[in-house]
Amino acid sequence: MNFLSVYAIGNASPIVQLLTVINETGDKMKAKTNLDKIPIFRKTDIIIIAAVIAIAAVSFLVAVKNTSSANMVVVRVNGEITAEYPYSENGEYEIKGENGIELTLVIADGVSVRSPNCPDKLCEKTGLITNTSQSIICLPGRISITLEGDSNEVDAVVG
Amino acid sequence: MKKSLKLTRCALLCAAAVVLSMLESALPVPIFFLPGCRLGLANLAVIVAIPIVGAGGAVSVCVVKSLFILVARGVMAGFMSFCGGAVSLAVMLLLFYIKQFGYVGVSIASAAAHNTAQLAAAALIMWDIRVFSFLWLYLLLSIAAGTVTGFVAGVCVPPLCKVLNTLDRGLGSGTNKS
Ligand SMILES: [Zn+2]
Repeated sequence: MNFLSVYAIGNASPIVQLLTVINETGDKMKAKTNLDKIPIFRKTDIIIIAAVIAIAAVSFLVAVKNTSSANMVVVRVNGEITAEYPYSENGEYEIKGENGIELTLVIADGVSVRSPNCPDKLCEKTGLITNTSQSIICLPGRISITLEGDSNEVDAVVG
Repeated sequence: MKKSLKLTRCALLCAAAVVLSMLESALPVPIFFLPGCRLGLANLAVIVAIPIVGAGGAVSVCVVKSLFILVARGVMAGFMSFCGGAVSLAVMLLLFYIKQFGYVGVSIASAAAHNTAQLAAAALIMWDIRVFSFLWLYLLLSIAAGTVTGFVAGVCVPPLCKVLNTLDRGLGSGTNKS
């Protein structure tokens, strides 16, 4: 009865059994819910929108509260601090991340990344960051570059 | 007969999901965006899949979409897509089952869940909870994306279901008579 079993002909592995169960309960559910009778918009949808806006507002306030004047540039690879540089001193530093990814960290009235060798170059496209709520992340190299204030307040909040 | 029909429809929806996620990655990425995170417009294919091929089919659409992203954009983007897809599908099914919300509401909730799960996945990969400082932005974006996908799904699904149901009935009676 399961379309997915077409992919695994004659194979009664637990995964296929699980998919069969999901598929059959899905069909029962579909028959029960009558989805073509659900309207595009209902008044109750406002509750969802309000809830999402409320969570957004709270997370914005938390993010802003954690923003303080930057004075350290912290480089993490895999979540571990590998280098720290003073924010006030201009300079360029070579950063080595995972998977052979390397990039140049530029500190000059803000922090930016130059000539990374990662495939997506999204870290470079992030551009200049100037306050502690911002960060540059290179996912392929698992590198995160953050600005941090002198107080340990941020660390206390974010652990 | 029914099985092959369902399989064909699943395959079509999977293709739609892949095309949507390709379109999405072709969109320019604003500078404040976290790499790997997407708006989740490809959710449209999943939300349409639930009424047409049921929850099981929607699961397969989600998995195929994540596999495509895995191949096209790497392991990490694939992992993030899988987390986002799984959580948003769960929210979608739950809200559809409760039957208290319209397409727009379900779509916004699932988009918000999608983005939050992707950020959680990114935070896990980076092992840095700081990633969540982007959460407010993603939630606001999910309202916009959810409204669009919800509206499109709400407009498309009822006539689509009608056509497919008549088609099914026609095929069924055709095989019975002949
Ligand atoms: Zn990069």
